[in-house]
Formats: sequence, structure tokens, C-alpha cells
Amino acid sequence: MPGPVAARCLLATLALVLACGESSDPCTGIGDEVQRENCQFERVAALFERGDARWREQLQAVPSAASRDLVRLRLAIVEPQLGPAICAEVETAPAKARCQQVVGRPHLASPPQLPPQRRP
Amino acid sequence: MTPLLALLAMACGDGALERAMEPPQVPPAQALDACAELDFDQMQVLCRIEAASRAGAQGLTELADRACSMVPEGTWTHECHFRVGEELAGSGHPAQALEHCARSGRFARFCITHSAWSMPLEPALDARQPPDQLIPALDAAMVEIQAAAQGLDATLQPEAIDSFRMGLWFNAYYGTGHAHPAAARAASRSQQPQARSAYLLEAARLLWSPGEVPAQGAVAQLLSHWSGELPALEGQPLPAGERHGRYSVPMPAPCERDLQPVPLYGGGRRILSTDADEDLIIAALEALFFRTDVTAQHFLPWVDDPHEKVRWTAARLLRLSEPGELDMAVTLTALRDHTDSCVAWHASDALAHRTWERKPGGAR
Repeated sequence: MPGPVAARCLLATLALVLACGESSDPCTGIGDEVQRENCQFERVAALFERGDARWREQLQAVPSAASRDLVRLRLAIVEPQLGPAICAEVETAPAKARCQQVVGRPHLASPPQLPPQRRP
Repeated sequence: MTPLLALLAMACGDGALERAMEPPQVPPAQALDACAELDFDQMQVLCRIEAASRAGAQGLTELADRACSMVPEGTWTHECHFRVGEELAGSGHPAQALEHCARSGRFARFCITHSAWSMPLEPALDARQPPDQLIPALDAAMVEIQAAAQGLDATLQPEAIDSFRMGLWFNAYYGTGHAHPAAARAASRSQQPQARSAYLLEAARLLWSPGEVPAQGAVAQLLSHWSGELPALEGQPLPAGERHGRYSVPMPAPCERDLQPVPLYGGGRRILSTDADEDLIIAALEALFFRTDVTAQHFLPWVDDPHEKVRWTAARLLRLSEPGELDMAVTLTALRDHTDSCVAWHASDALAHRTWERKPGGAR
């Protein structure tokens, strides 16, 4: 009797056979979960970090809501000033909870302050 | 991307994504190991800050330190120390809190304010204690806090010390249901402004039921209780979570720029006068403003007071209060021609920003 992971992989192999040749996304075929998530993040982050508006399009190409939310959270941590805007778009309940660590702290989104004036 | 490929992408995962989103809830001592097992650097950052914060809430300063030291230098290290600072203050470790605030970079001022107002109620630091026990206990607490404040940037030290003084005195009086002036009157010289403010906040709460504050004579009545001419006040205490009120945000009034402020509740501040009588009136006006039912008309007579700092305080509180029976546009238009240029400035600026319509305590 195969275990749940083996059963999922079996199903996945079947899906791979059926889906072969249907996508040009280089991340999709990566078997290792961490490498795959990192690949998806890096593709979005590369556009995001140079201010290229296509990062949203790239994000939408990430296949699962959980993976898209992981990308969003990682971007919010890289760029906390944009955290509230990024976190406003998360789709899953666990990501909403994690986002509280960013949006629940409004000073993270504030620009650096000038040092206080010394009193005479 | 097809749904089938998506299925493939997710099927063989070992749960790294789920772990990153929902790290296991383990005791603080094991939290850092759990964070290290997360596969994504950025999620480790959030995990370690959470671990540091939980360690701070339990007073585990070494563990909190270690957790923050594992967060990359910059905004998130500062956030880590800020979180630890406020949690340490909230668990009754104000001096250690300030040590973390000193390492919270550009968030240091926020950290100081949050920490000063997170301090828990301490039975030994309650104004119901006899003054000969309370005053030495407050002095001892301030000695520790002042020593810890030396680690802060020099420009922040006076504000930090004053904020913690106010936090301690606020906790001693406000919400206790006990407004006896003896303890405040016995305060050490450096703590007198905070002591009288804290006493007057509680006296103003106890003296009138909600909505019953008289527009005329309210300040005089408060000061009669302070002087002992009228008896000490007793009433219902407030639960710890309900000890808050309205405060005025700092304003860039030109006349106030070089004056030393007294930090008040939650980041508010009032003018300090070296004249004790003038300072009492200022503290009483601010105590009335702390009650959300006090309207602009309560402050109007004071814009013509002989004491300039009283006039300036009244003008600031008037412009931030709900109008009540006043027509604010008419009142402020008349005050624009006031002989005191500071009152006139407040009136002009209020008309320009319609400040009486803003949420109290919010951004201007």
C-alpha cells in the first residue's frame, strides 16, 4: 500500500505525462519543492527589484495560491515599505496571518525619520 | 501554466511551504531551532523575530538577544529589538526594554513610547501605597531606568526618561479609583510634573460622570481637590485594559518649539512650566482633554489667561476638540486676531487643517 506522498507522486507523474510540453515556465518542472519555490520567487523578485511592472504578471503565472503568497511574503520582507500593499493581495489564510507581522507594524512602512533635534 | 502542471509542482513537496507559513508553536527555548529548519531566508527572519518577541514577553533576555543577533542587520534587526523592548517592558522589565530600544535604530523613539506605555501595574508602585513607601519605590525604579537610558542616542535620553516617569506615575494613579494628592505632592522634584498630571487625570475621571463636566469652573474644582481644600476623591477603578483616553499629538507651533515638553499618554505631550501654579493649570486642562466628553468650549476661556503657556495649551486643545456648542469656524476666525501670536497661529493653522474634525490622537 503506497503512502500519501508516494500516492501524490504517482498522481503527479501521471500529470507530468499528460502535461508534458504545455509550459515554458522553467520553475514548474523542478522536482525539489524548495528549489522550485526559490525559482518562482527569484523570477518575480528580479522584476520587482528593478521596478519592472511585469512582476505582477510573473507572480500570476505561479501556479498555486500558496506559492504566490510565499512569494508575496518574501517580497514584503525584502521591501517592508511596500509590505502593506503587497500583503493586501494575499490569498490564503496562513499568509494573511503571517502578513500581520508586517502590516500590523505600520512603522515598517514609514520612510526613515530625521534624527530628533537636540534641545538648546 | 496548466492545472496539471500545477498539480505536479505541488505534489511531491515535503511541506517546506506549509512549514514556512505556519511554523510550529514551540516553547521559546526551542523556537530558534524550529526557525533554522525553515527553508526560506526571509521566513526565518519573521520566525526569529517572533521567537525573540515571545522570549521578551517571558523576560528571557539572553534568548531574545540571540534571536535578534540571527536576523540580518538593518530594518529587521531594528524591528526585532523594538519587539523585544516592548515585550520586556510589558513583562515588567523596563530597564532591559530600554537596552533593546537603544538597538532599535530608527524605531528607537517608537520603542521608547510603546515600552513606557506597556509597563504593567505594580502593586508596590500604586498611589494607594503610603507616600513614604511609594516615593522611594518610584525613585528606585527611575534610577534603573535612567541608567539604562544612557545607552540611547543622547538626543533621545531626556524624552525616554520623561516618558517612563510619566508611565510609572500614570500607572500609579490612573484607573485606580483613588485620587488622593498626598503621593503626588510628595513626589521627588524631578517627578513633580508627571505626578501632578497623573493625579489630575484620575481626579478628572472620578469627579464627574461621563458627559457631566461643567464648562465653567472645572479647572478650579480640580485644583481645589489638589490643594486639599476639597476632599480626596474615590470611585470605581478601571480594568487594566481600559486605562486609556484622548491625547493631543505633537504640533509644530512656533512658540512651543524650544519649550521642554512633558510626554503624556501614548505619545502625547504637554507644555511644562517652571511656575508650579501655571503648570497645575496646564496639567488640569490636559486632564480634561483626556476625557473624550470634554468639548472645545471648556478650553475657550483659558485662551485669555494671564499665563502664556496656559493660553497656548488652551488654544491647542480647543482646536483639537469637538465643537460642542461652539461654532468653530467663527470662534477660530476671531482668535486669528488674538494679541498672543501663538494663540493666533493655532487658530490660523486649525482653520487651514480643520483640526477639530480629525480623529483625536491621530495624525495631523
